[in-house]
Amino acid sequence: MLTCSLTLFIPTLTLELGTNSMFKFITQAIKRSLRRSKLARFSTGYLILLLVIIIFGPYLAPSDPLALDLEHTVQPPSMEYPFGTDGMGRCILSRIIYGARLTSLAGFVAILVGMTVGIPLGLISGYCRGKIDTVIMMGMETLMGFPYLLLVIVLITMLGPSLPNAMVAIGIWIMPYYTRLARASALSIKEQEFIEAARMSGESNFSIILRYIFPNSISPIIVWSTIYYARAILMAAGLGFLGLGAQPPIPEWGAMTAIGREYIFVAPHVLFFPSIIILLTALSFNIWGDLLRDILDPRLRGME
Amino acid sequence: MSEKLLEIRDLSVHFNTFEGVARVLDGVCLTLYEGEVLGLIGESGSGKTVTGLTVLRLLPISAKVVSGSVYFHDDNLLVLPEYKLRDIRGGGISLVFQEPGTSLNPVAKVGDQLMDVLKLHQQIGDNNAVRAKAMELLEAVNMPRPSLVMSQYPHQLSAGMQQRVAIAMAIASNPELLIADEPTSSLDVTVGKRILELMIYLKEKRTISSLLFITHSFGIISEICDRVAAMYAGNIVEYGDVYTMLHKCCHPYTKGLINSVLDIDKKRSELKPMKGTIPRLINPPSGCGFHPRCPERMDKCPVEKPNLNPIAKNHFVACHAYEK
Amino acid sequence: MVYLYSDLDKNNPLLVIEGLVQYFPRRGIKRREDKIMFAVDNVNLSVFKSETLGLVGESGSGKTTLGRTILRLLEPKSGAIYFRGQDIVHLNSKQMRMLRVKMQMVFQNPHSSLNPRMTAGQTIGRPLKVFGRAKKSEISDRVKNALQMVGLIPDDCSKYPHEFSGGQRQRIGIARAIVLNPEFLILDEPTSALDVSVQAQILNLLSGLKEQFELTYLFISHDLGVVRHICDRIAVMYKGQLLEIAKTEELLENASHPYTKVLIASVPRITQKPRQKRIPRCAPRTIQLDGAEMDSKCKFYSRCEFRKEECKQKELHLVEIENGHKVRCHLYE
Repeated sequence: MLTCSLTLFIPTLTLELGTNSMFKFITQAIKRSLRRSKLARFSTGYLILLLVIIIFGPYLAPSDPLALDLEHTVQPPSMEYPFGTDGMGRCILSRIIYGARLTSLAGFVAILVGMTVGIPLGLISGYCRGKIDTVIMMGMETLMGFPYLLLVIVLITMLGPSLPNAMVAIGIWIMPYYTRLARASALSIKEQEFIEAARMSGESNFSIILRYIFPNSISPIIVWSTIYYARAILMAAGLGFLGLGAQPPIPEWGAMTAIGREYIFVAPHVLFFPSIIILLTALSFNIWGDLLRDILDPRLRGME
Repeated sequence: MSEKLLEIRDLSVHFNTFEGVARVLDGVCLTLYEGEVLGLIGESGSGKTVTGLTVLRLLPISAKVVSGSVYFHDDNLLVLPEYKLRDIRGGGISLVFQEPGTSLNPVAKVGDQLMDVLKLHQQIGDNNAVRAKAMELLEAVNMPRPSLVMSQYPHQLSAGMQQRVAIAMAIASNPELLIADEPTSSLDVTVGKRILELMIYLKEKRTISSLLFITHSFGIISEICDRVAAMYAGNIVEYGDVYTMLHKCCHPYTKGLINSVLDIDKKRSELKPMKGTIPRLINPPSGCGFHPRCPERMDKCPVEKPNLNPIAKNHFVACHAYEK
Repeated sequence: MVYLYSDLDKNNPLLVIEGLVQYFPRRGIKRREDKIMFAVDNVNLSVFKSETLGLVGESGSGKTTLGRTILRLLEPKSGAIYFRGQDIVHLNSKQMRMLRVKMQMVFQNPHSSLNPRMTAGQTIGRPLKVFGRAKKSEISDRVKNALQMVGLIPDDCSKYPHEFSGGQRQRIGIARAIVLNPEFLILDEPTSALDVSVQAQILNLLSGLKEQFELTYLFISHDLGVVRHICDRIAVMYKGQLLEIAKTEELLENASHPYTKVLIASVPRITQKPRQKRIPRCAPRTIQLDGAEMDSKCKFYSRCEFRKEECKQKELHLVEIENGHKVRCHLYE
C-alpha cells in the first residue's frame, strides 16, 4: 500500500514542487555544462541528440530495424546502410535508433523499480531507527554484498531471460542504493526543527515521512538517479550481451553487441557501433550526474 | 595624538552570487589608532565581518575587492605580495573568530597547534623552548591547568576554554592589532564576560596594542570600546566616541537601533522598532542605503549618497539631514 | 501596555509541573545508570493564566528540554504535568493530539523551523486540516487571516520559506502556532536568531497577540534584556535545576541566589555616564572545581563563592523568602 501511494506521489509531488523551478533549474544546468569543459559540452549535445532520437526515432531511421536483407549481410558502411549491416542483413543504424528507445526505457524502468521499493524503505528506516532500521539495513546490506553480476544472473535465471525481466532484476539490484540514500536524507532531515513543529501540528508519523521528509530528500535522489541510470543501462546492455536480457531480433544495444562478437575480426563495425553508443550514453549521464551534484551542493549552502 | 595603526580608505568589495553581484562593502572608510579599542557594530548584512576579513585578505574566491585600500602603518595590505602578508597575518594583525569550535583544528592537540603558530612567527630553535613559550601563552590567557590542556584535543575543552586557546594562538607573536569578530556571541553570558575581561586585560598589559571589536551588541560596545562605528548595508553611517554614539547619536539608523536595544537596565516601556527590513545587497537602494526605511528622509536621499561629515569633534555622520 | 499578574490568580494556575525529570540515557557499551546527567532535575513550576513566565538559563540549563518535555515532544522520565488540572503525562497519543490544539510552540531557528517544500499557506493550514478544525472552504480564509494577524499580506501564502527574510519566517512560525486558537504558547528563544531591529518587531507582535487572544506564554531565553522587557515573572535554571523564581522587577533588584547574581552581573549593559567602563582588570575568579558537579546535590557548587560542604549532600527545595519570590539555596534555609 505504501509503495502504491508513493508511486502515485512521486509524479504528483514532482509536478507540485514546481515545474517552473525545475525548468529554470535544468536550463541553468545546461548553461553551466556548456561553460565547464569540452567533455561537458559534448555530453550535453549528445544527450539532446539522444532525446531527439528517442522522440523522433521512427522518422529518422533509414530502414526497418527488423527487415532482413540476406543478400547484403555483414556489409561495411555504405550509402544505403550508413552503419553497415549485421549478420542477418539488418541495418545497424536503424537498429541503433530504435534501440535507443528500448535501452533508455529499460534504464528508466529499472531505476523506477528500484526507487519505488528502495526509497520508502530507506525513509522509514532512517526515520524510525531502532529495530526496524536494523532489520531493513541488514537486508539491504546483504543484497549489496552479492557481486552484482551474480545476483542479476541468478534473478534472471529464476525469472527467465527477456528485457522486462532484466529490468526487474536490475531494479532489484539498484534498490539498496536508493535505500541507503533515502535513509541518509531521512536521518539528517529528521533532526530539523520543522519536523518537531509538524508533530506539534498533529501530524502522524506516516504523514511526516510523506509530506516533510520525502520532498526534502529529492535533490540527492535526482542527482544519483542519473548515475544509477547510466549503471542500469550498462547492466541492461551487459545482460543483453550475455543473452540474458533482450533476445534477438529485438534491436537492444546489448543484444547487438552479442551478435557483433562473432564478427569481431571479420567485420568489426558490427560490434563497434553499438558498443560505442553504449559507452557514450553511459558516459554522458555520468557527467551530467556530476554536474547536477555540483550545482545542488553549493546552492543548498547558498540558500541559507 | 596616537599614531594611525590601520586605515581603510574607500573600500568596496563585491561578491559573485547566483542571483547577481552583491555589493557587500560600498566605500568603507575607517581609521584605527594605536592603543584604542574600536567597535564595529551592525546587523546581519551590514558588512562588518567582511571588513574584518578583507583587512587580512581572507575573503572567499567569489569575493572581489573592487576599489580602495587598507593601510597598515605604511603598507597597503591589498597589494602586498603574499609572503609579506603571511608575516603580517598572526604577526602584525591577528583574528579571533566567532565559533571557537571551528577555528581550532579538531585533530591536533592544543599544545601542538600553539607550537605550530609559535614556530611560524618566531625563530626559536629549541623544541623545549617553544613548548615553554606555549605554556606561557596559556597562562597569559588564564587557562586553568595549562599543562593538562596542552595535551588535550579541542573537543575535550569547554567552549570558553576553546576561545581562550584561539586567543592564545592569536596573541602568540604579540600582534599590534587584534581583530575580534563576535568572539562572545556563541558563548554563554557568564563565560563571555570572562573572555571580554581577558581581552581588555591583554590590551592593558600591552600584549596587543589595539583591538577592533566586531559585534552586534551595544552592551559590549559600551563596556569595552573607546570609539565605535556603525555600519549599514556596506557603509559606515556614523562613528564617534562611545558615549556620544550611545547617547547623542544622530543618524536615523543608529537612533533606531539604540531604541530597539533591550538593555537589562532599561525599564519596561513601549518598544518602537524601525519599519522595514535590511535591504538585499544585490540591488541596493539608490543613494543612501537607508532611505526606504528612514523617518527623516528628504528628497535628496534616494538620489545622492551622503558622505561622512564631521558634526562635532570626533563625531562623523553620513546623512543629508545632518550636513552642516 | 499593562502586564497582568494578579494575586487572585495564585490559586488558578494553567499549568503545574511537579517533580519533572528528564535525562538522556548514554548509548553504547557504557550504560551507567548511576551517573546520569539530568537535563531536567526534579523541577516544580506553575504558570498562571495570562502571564508571561520567563525561563532563563545558559546552555546546558535544561530550559529547552523542559519546554519540549512539557509538550511531551520528549516523554518525561518521571513527574507530573497538569494542564487545567488534568494530568497529561498519562494521556494516550490520540488524547494528546487533541490537547495540542490548546498548547503550541514557537521555535527558535527561523531557517529550520519551516518545511522548505511547503508554502507559507500550506504550513499554516496543515494544523487546521489535521485537526479537522475547519471545513475545506474555510481553511484558506483562516490562513489568510492568520497571516494578516502576524503582519504579513494574504498574497504571501503561496510563497516558499526561502523567499522570506528571517523575521518574516518567524512570523509564519507564530501564525502556525496561533491558527488553532491555543491557550498556552511555549516560545523557545523566538528572537535569538534575529537581528536586534527585527527582534523588536517580533516582540511587539507577541505582546499584541497575547493581549488580543488572552494567551499565556512560557518564554524561554538566555537574554535577560529581552526577558526583562516582556516577562511578568522570571525563573532561573542551571544544569537542570530551578534555582530561583520571582516577579521580574523583584528578581532584578533583589536577586538572591549566587548564580542569579553572577548571571545578572555578567550581562553587558549600556553605561549611563561617559568614560565609565565596567570591565575591571581581570577580577579575581572563583577557582572552579570540576567533576564535582556529578556528585553534588547543588549543581552550582563548583562555581559558587558561598559554597559549603553541606551543599554537596543536602537536598534543597525552593523556599519562599518573599511574596512570590522563591530561592533554592542553603543561604535561605
